[in-house]
Amino acid sequence: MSARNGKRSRIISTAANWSDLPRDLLYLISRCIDNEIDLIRFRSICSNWRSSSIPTHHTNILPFKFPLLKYVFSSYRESESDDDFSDCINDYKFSDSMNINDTNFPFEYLSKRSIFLIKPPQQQQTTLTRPWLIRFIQNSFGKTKIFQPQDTFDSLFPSFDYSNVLDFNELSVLHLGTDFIIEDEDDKHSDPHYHYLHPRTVLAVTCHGRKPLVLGAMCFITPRPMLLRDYDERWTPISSSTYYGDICVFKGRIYAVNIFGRTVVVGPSELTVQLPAQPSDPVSNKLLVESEGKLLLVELCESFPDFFGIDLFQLDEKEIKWVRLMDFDEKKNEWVKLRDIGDRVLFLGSGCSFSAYASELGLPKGNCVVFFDDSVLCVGNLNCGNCVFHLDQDRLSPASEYPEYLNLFLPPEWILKS
Amino acid sequence: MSKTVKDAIETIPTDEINSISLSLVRSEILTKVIEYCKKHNSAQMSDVDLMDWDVEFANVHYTTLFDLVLSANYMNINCLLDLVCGKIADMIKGKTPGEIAKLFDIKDVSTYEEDN
Repeated sequence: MSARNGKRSRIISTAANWSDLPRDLLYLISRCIDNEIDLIRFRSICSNWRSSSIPTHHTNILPFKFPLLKYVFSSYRESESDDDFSDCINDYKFSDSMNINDTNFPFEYLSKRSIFLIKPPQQQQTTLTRPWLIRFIQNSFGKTKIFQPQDTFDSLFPSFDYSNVLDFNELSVLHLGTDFIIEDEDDKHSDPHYHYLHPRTVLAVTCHGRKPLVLGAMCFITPRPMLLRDYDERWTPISSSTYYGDICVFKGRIYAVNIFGRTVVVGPSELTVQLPAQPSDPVSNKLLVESEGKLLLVELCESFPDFFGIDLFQLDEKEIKWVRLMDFDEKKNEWVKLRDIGDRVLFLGSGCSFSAYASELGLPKGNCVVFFDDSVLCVGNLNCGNCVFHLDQDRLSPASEYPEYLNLFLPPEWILKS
Repeated sequence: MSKTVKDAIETIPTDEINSISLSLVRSEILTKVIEYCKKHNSAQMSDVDLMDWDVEFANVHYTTLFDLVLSANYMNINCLLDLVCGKIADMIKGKTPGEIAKLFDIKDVSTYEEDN
């Protein structure tokens, strides 16, 4: 093909006039924005941008009903001794989920929880203005508030009171993650013969122009099904015998890892793309987190109080396999673990794991992992407040030794003063 | 790859085609568009490598992005359009409205609050 170069009548003037972009282009661009705050800002630029863009963000799926599967003790025992570890698959039978899409299937409303990194606008940033890792929660009835873990006994850091209005327009806001949780865990439906299965992590991914895919993972280690909601908003349970635990959004798709390290991409229909398992100890906890455009698998081995270790793997997208972050030591002629993620800090928790640079957070050093909720660590470590793991020291330290990490979740001075 | 060009070819009788008028596309931008189309049509690169190449390709000054998005739209090349729209959305990420307006040199910034 060739273009006629002679006559070039441009409708575009030499200066690019962004506010006059065609409506359908602005619509397409607005659909690519991955969170609500950035979308609101996009829509506030000028009236043409506002009227051409999508009105609400795709992850705005509230009110959101999550179906509750029942699990029934297959043999209900009258007296249970202290050694009765009845949490194994053989003791439970999952209720028939064939009518899971019926309107009378038991459900619970979910709330949307988002985490943002807030800083003052660029020109006002100094070394004294540390950022704020703020978590918002919006329930299915529209009420929004700052999220704080309810059970302060299990919580690793002090609660705070903040009820001023935040003007986001003036702040630099970076969206770090969004997930969905059940806010009030009170057992409305309780019966000695069965329990309702509450989701541990619920994530949604949006696909251009379609309804979001939603996946709920029930539990961490013991086998429970995952529930997938497809583009037509229909729920499907995914095989319960595969012990899938942590799930994570990566490049627009949801990944799930099981206790053997086997990883799959879930949806749009059931499971696709399966990575071979990394030979590893099934007892270790496995968590997924995205960091700098790569998907990392974090394996934790905990034996309180003697031992706490972390192993890191990175997804090789070309080979479709996990690669242990190792370096080859020429002198010793052996592989050594790459115990260095540089300036990065990984924050691991249920549903909202993320990664950020220490310099961006105003922290003195990176190369560490912070557990910021009680979902991962064992009770012993939680009680001691041990939640900061420095990779170079190979040690899990109490939060009291490194208050600056968890203090990021408290409102900073410059916010309280305004 | 370009639906506009495809349509033009289909509507004009073959022996009359000498050139197709793309009067709204500047030659520098057309060069870049051709580069994109050639790369995506050749079967040489793997999907992942092509994605990396796309990231590099879209890493241009925002004035070029402006022209690219309009050209991709005019020439109706869907995958290029998706790439450039995504890149523009990325540039907006994390910026205040004031910073966005400054970046794109937009003068009449509305200040009313979102009403939902």
